[in-house]
Amino acid sequence: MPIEGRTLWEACHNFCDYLNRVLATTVKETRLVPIGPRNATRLQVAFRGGGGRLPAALLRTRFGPMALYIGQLCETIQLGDARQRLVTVEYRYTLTPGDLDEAAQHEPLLRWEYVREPEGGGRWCRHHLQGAVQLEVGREAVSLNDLHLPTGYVTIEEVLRFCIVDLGVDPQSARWHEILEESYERFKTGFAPRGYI
Amino acid sequence: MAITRTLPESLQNAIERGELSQEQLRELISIEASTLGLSTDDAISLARKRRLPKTYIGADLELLVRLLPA
Repeated sequence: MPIEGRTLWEACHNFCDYLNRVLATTVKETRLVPIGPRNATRLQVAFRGGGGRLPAALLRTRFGPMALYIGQLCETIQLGDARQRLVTVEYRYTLTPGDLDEAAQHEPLLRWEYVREPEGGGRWCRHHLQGAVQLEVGREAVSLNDLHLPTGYVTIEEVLRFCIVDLGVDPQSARWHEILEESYERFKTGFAPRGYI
Repeated sequence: MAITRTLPESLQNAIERGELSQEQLRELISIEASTLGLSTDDAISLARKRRLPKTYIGADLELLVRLLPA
């Protein structure tokens, strides 16, 4: 079932309500919130619950505390029946070791990004991974931050799965795997309008 | 340096509603810019060039700036 609404705001609130249920039953009960100007044609989604000025969720991983940032820019496409379907035009997902204050001062270890339309003629991969990771490429030391490693569209569900399986975050429920599987399938079959990602 | 953890109450209330005025959006951008040691105008300029510090605050700022009028 695609994420839709009568307006951009309604579609975005539906999107956040859905994701927050997934988050609360898998990795973290921290709320994603849509914000934007009143007559906006696009809205931003990020962690902003609780009045905090740090838009990230603190995870307890097997490597210590880590800040998870999830951010998206969302627009809608008009459907024929006066409803609008949500599309993601940009995302940023980052994982940074440290508590929220400490992590806010450092480059993320891993940073997944998607830009539907790079400005200025940028020809790098629209879906890419970067991070503060040193690679040996031939005789050169290259930072992953200087490359745009292609990834395909990375879903929030896959990032959450990475947090649980690879980073050792304790899942919020015993059904975390099924919840992420179901959500991922919904995204593949319904959320992503073909031609828009 | 510890970062002040809470936003001004008026801005918190606006975020809870979701709809921000242009002034409130700029206020949020300004607060995050100050966390990076940048002025609001510098942060906006760098965000549009995708040259903000690659922290999660920088990532958030880049997306917030895209909500401003071009």
